[in-house]
Amino acid sequence: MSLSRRALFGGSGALAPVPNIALITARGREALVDELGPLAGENSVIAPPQDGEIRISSNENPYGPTGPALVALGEGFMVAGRYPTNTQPNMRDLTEAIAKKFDTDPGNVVLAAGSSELLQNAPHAFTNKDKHLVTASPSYRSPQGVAQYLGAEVKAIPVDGAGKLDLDGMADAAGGAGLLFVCNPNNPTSTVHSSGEIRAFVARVRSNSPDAVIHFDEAYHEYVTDPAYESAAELAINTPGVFVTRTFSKCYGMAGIRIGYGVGHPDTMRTLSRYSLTFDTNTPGVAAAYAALHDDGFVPRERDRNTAAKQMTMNFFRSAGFQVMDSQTNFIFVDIGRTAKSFRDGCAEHNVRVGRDFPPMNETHARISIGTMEEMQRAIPVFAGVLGVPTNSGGRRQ
Amino acid sequence: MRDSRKETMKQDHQTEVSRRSFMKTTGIGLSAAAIMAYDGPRSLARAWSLALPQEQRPMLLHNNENPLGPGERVLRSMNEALSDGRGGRYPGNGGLPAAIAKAQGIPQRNVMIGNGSTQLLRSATQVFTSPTKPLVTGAPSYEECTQYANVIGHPVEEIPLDDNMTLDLDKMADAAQGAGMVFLNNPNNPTGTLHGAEAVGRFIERVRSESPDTMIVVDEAYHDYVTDPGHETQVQRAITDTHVIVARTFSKAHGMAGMRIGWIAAHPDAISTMRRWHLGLTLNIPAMMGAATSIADSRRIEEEVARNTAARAYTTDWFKLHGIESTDSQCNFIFVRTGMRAQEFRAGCAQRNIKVGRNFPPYQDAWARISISTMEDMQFATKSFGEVLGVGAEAAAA
Repeated sequence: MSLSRRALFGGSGALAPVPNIALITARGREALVDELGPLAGENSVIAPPQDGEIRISSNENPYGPTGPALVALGEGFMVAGRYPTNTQPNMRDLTEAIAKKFDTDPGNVVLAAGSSELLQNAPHAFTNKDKHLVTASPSYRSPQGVAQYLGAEVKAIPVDGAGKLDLDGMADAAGGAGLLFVCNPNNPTSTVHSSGEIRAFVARVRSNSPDAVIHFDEAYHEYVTDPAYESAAELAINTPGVFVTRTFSKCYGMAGIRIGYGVGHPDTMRTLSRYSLTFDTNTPGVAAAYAALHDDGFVPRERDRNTAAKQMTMNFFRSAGFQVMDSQTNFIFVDIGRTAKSFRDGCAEHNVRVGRDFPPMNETHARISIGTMEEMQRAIPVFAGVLGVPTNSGGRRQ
Repeated sequence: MRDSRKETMKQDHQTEVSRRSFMKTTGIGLSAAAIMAYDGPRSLARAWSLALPQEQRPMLLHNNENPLGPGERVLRSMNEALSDGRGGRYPGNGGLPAAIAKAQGIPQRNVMIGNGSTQLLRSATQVFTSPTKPLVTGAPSYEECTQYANVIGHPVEEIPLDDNMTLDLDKMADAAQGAGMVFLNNPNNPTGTLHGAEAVGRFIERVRSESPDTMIVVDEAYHDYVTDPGHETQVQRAITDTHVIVARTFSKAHGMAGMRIGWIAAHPDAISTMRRWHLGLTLNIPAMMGAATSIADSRRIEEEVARNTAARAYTTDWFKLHGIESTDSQCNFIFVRTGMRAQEFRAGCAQRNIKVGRNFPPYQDAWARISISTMEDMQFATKSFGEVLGVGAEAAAA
């Protein structure tokens, strides 16, 4: 509780407990959940971006839901008196559409209130006092919080120098594990592993810890451009004890709508679904996700948009002499050579909100989400000013 | 009668048209042309609209929903939640806890929101029961806590209804000795029956004095629909008593079952215990903003209650006229002694495109739960009930 109070009310405990809305706004919801633990609950007020604010802190699609998804939401509101099983398209329709997308059966799919529900339910289903969790450091921390609440040991294996998950180290730690959490691409380092590396990893874990469940979180899948990458979904569908999570919160722009899903072997899905909330997904969200899946051309369009804005931003940092990890996501992880906090505070003075601390790399690295091209063009001079370098590339002022 | 139904259909259709044009003009960031061009799963609102003749749509009398869905003001708030790409941002709480606190006249620290009351009921079951401290509940009663206790392997003690088919408060209080949690659904689903404020107060006093560590959860999901003057909510008790929690939902009278929002009133100590477990990030932002509007709109609830009360009275009277008894329902459903197996009755209704409630052991051999829709719907449905049960042919022909 004390951590939560400190973060919400600001550092100086002597002052009256007025919620520090600016701080919360600066960091966004994703940050709250990660920093305060996944169990923070819906106890925070986060205002939408204020006039002129550039919020590039929570890896959101800055445009939000668009096109058919937006229309479906509006129509869905009108029938929101019905549970999500009682409309069309309903939970069953969405499950079938996702199954079709993966060329598999509905029994291989579980819907969720954002993939976060599954990230939390998996440790509940698969870890306990005797079966530990293997994860990476830094990586998305949601599963860790649940495992800790349940008294399960957490083995967090450091990433390598390039920010890639140490898959060998994680496989070594798998003996007797209940669950391995593999964020691919990894948040916050943005790096990805190739399909060959993933297959070898699964084979290795399978042989030295056959009962451990492997969870590949592919929240940023749609943004990957590396041709060596391949989703683990097909592998998961055919391998008991392996599953993949995806979300509509990132590329599809529906972080505020809370729809995600898991794909895997029917046995794994059945176990996971026992922990699913009754009617976890909402009626308009189900319709919107269904519409988004059928919106041909949307994903490549959004990926190209992100890639272009990202490339411009990376060009600025690289030409200014900063190392940027090989980003396969809608954010970048930059060696700024100073604390993330000093960079964040400096940017905040100019109404640009960048990512939180990612220990142990918070002494040197900052995570910056990719906003619109226009936002990044406005943000780059701010980055340059804070870092004391010229705006020497890409950052065309308008 | 046919004419009057047509008239209602016409009115409904006009409402539908105005809703659609309303949607196009609210700031959801899409031009009307883009909306008209979209040819995705458009059937959503139309296929399930009450504007369609009963013959052309399934009649959903199985999940105790408000058939009218959210009101205009709530729709407006939900659409606003999507403006300026906000649906793509991770949600805060949309101001909902504050709005609930204000509407109830209680401090915000006594309010916690969840993904339907179901998520809150699960969290309570998780933290207040254990392998050695059982859940005590009625049978039949709302099954959520029981089912979740089964998933996590915590024992459940089910207390049969008394001879009046109401929850047996004395026997439940007996069983509460040493229990982790006692679940009191008031009014009770599926029987619809209510215990007045005095009886509930006596029950709480007794459990508090005889088993002070037991958490008492009073689920008042149908509170708004109650017409019995002896009823009183336990919200005031919950905010001062560390061991009383009241659960409420937006899924029933507020017409937002598809949005997935519920809340509890409780002592801050109970809330902080639940928060340590409660899974975050499951609530969508339009739902929270819509619910904040809905809870302040008491007039709409009054209208909905009046509508339900009249349609409920019509339906119970129809059964009574044909010698079929019902319990004294205070909800938006009735529990009827059809004398036919629930499964058989359900199948007969399904053949006529009407869905009615599930089995409620041990009453599944002669009783059915039927949700109350609009008056027009119930007048249509009772003809089908008559056919299935072999009664009321004359009435239907007249």
